[in-house]
Order: sequence, then structure tokens, then C-alpha cells
Amino acid sequence: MNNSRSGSGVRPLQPSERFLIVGGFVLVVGGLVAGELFALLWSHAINAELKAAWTDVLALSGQAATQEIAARFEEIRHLATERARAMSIHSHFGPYGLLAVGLGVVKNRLGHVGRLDMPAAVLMIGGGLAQTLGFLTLGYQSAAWFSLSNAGVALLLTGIGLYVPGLLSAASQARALPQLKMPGGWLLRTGAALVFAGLLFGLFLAWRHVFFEEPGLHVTLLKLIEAIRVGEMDAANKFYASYKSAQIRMAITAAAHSHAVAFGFIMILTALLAEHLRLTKAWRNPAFALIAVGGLLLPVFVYLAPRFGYFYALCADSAGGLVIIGLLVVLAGLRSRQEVAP
Amino acid sequence: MSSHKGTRRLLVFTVVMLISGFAASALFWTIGPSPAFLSVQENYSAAITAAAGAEKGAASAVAGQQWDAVSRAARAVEAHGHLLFLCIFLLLFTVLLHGLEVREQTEQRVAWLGISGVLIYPAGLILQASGYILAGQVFSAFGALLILAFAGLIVAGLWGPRTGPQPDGNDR
Repeated sequence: MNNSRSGSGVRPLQPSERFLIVGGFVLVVGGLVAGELFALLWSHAINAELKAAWTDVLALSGQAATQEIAARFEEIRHLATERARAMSIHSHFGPYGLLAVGLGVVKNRLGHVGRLDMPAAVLMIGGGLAQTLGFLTLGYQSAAWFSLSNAGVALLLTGIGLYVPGLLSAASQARALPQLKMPGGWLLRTGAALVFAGLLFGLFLAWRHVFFEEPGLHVTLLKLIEAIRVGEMDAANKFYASYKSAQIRMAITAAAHSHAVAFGFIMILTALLAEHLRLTKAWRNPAFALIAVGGLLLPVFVYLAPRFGYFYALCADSAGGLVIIGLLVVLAGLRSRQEVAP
Repeated sequence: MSSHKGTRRLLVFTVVMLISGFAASALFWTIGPSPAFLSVQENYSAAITAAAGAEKGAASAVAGQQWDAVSRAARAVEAHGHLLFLCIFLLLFTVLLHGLEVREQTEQRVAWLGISGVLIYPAGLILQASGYILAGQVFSAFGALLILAFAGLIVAGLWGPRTGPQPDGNDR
């Protein structure tokens, strides 16, 4: 373990730490870009196709055309699988990246990794990348998807496993973790507060979900089925529209909770790395401000989008863009620090 | 000098969450919800086809089964997602708690809140996914309150006077 410090009083990052941190941030940015692309290009198109297929099902059910209904359900299954795969890429990149950056931040305090230091970092980043990109391959039930994705999980687990003795060693020795005295402490405090707000909102959401929204959805579903059975297709269409819009609103509202927590994590990690950034204040402060403003606004706009329309969805996408730009500046600042040490 | 027992315990539980969050959750996902979602799709199909054929009773029965399958699969997905995020949460908030200059006893108590919360909350979701709805809801609500208390106390410490992060004079 190298605890030597550069002339500026900051310990330079080891190659494996830099690999974990840079690789982790690349995964995080990749996840954000995938989310933006999904929201802008695929989400609305796939949802429109799904809606059309369901409308067909309802129309066909009035004619008791069971074979045609089965064909439409096959189409719905295919579209839903496509949508789930796209969402999985977005939702898995982020946590894997955050974990890699987090381990990179505390890694210099861990013991017992030794010569496996860099291989462990490569396994974590490579495994996360392979597992996530595995979602892109062929069909949901295909062997190729299963193999690549599961191989990625195995690599990732091996990488994490190599850090477990180090974490336990750090725990037994109670070595000092990174201190909180750093430039950009405001970003850390803001990030921690955003995580707390996201958790609080999650609790509220769960309460509303369990006691009001889910029972309401169940009733609507039963009414939909009954309307089909008695052949009242206008009513069936109305119940279907109500059912799907409630489902979409619940899913997007849950995304506001998960994005608040994830962006809070990004702010904390960025702040903990502030001393390692090769950025002047003129670059660092605006980059931090972009991450903070984007991270605070995005969950709010995501919450507003299903209630007040596409303008807020566009605002949410723009806020995500601010975070991506800020993170790209941070990534550029993570170049080798030794070059600038006096 | 504090011996940071709270930090130690949190780090050990970070390991527990890493293992359960990735290994157990990945296995659980492969074995449980993924096939369950496929059956959900089939149940939708069966319910509407039965309704279209005007088979009285069959449609609402299948719709009920479909609803149960959707609810359980959704809880299993939530458990999977929350386990991943909770291990990152624990790692980062351990660093933050360690950085606060608080008494050993306080650190330990706060650490126990976090440890209890990150164990009880996902356990509640898994119970719900397994069909024990009411017990699972009680567990997950209690776990969520403990996690909120843990995070809230640390955030209060960060924003409070003197204990928050200070510039170290290296603000280039």
C-alpha cells in the first residue's frame, strides 16, 4: 500500500484505485447516457406500440377471437422484453459504477489485496460491463444472453470477493477512512441531504403504493376483465387506459426516488475525490455545480413529468444532461496527478 | 482516540450486504422473479382469453392469480434493486460517519441503527415476495424507519456546527 504524498500534500492515486474510480465513473456516465437515450428515443415509441397491441387485444376479445389475441400477446411479450432489457442496461450500469468508485475511494485503506489489486479492479469493471452489455444480446431467454450476462456476474463477484478480506481487515484494524476535510465539502453535504430526502420520499411512496395505489390497480384490473367478459368494450377501453396510466405513473414516481438516492451517491463520491482532481477552481466549481443542480432537479422533474406532461420530461432529460457534463469534466480531471505535482 | 467500533461493524456489514446484494440477489433473481414475470404474461393472456370466451368464473380467478404473481414479482425486483443500493449506501455512509468527530458511544449507536435497518428492510421485501405480505410490510416499514434515522443523524452531523467537512487550505 502506497501512502506517500505528493508535493501538494495529496496522496497520489494508485493505478488500481484510478482504474476503479475512472472505470466506475465511465459506467455511471454510460448508465446516464443509456437512460437519456432510452427516455428520448425508445421509451415513448415502445409504449405507443404496447398500447396499440393492448387496444387490439381488447377489440379482439369483444369478438372472442382467441387465436388473434394470442398473437397480439406474443407481440406484447416481445415489446415488454425489449423495454425491460433497455431499462436493465440503464439500471445496472449505475449501481456497478457507484460501487466501483466507492471501493476506489476507500481502497487505499484496505489490506490483503496485494498483487491481486489490479486484477480485482479489472474484474469488477469488466464484469459489470459484460453483465450489463449481456442484456443487449439476442432474446431474453437465449443462451447467449444468459451466458454473457452470467459470466459478467461471475467476474464481478470474483472481483468483489477479492476485496472482502481487505474490507474485513480494515474493519478489524479500524484504519482511518478518508477524512471529510476537502474542497467541495458543500457537494458532499448536499449529496448526503439528497440521499436522505430520497429515502424519505421512498418511505412516503411505499405507504401510498401499498395502501392506495395497488388496491386501486387491482380493482381496475378486475373491472377490466369483467367488462371484457360481459362485452362492454367501451368500458373495457376506459379501464385499460386507467390501468396503464396508473401503472406508468407509479413506475415513474418510483424512478424519482431511485434517482434522488443515486444522484446523492454521485455527489458524495465526487466530493470525496475532489482533492485528486487535476482541475483549477474555475473548472472544478462549475462542474460540481452542474452535478448538484442537475442531481437536485432531475428527481423533481421526473416526479412532475407523468402529472403535468412532456415539458417536464424534457426538463428531466436536460437535468440529466447537466450531470453528464459535470461528470465528464470530473473524469477529465482524474488524469494522472503526478504530472502536476511540484 | 476513538477505537471506531461503530465503523468496524459497519464495514463488516458492508461485506454482508455486498455478498447478499450481489451473490444471493443475483441467484434469487435468476431462480425467482424472472420466470415469474413470464408466468405473469401468460396469466394476462389466460385471463383475457377466458374473458373473451365468456368463461364465467375462470376470468376473474385467473385475474386474481395474475395479480398475486405481479405483486410478488414486483417485491422480488424491489428486493434485488434495494440490496444493490443498500450496499453502496452503507459503504458511503460509513465513510461519512467515520469522518464526523463524535463520541465512540454515539458512533456505535448510530452504526447499530444502520446495520439493523439494512438487514430488516430487505428481509421485509423478501418476506412479501414469499407471500408473507403483512409480516413483510411490518418488517420493511420498521427497517425503512431505522435506515432513515441512521441517514438522518449522519446528515444532521454533516450540516451541524463544527463537525461538518471543512476546507483544508488545499482549495486550489
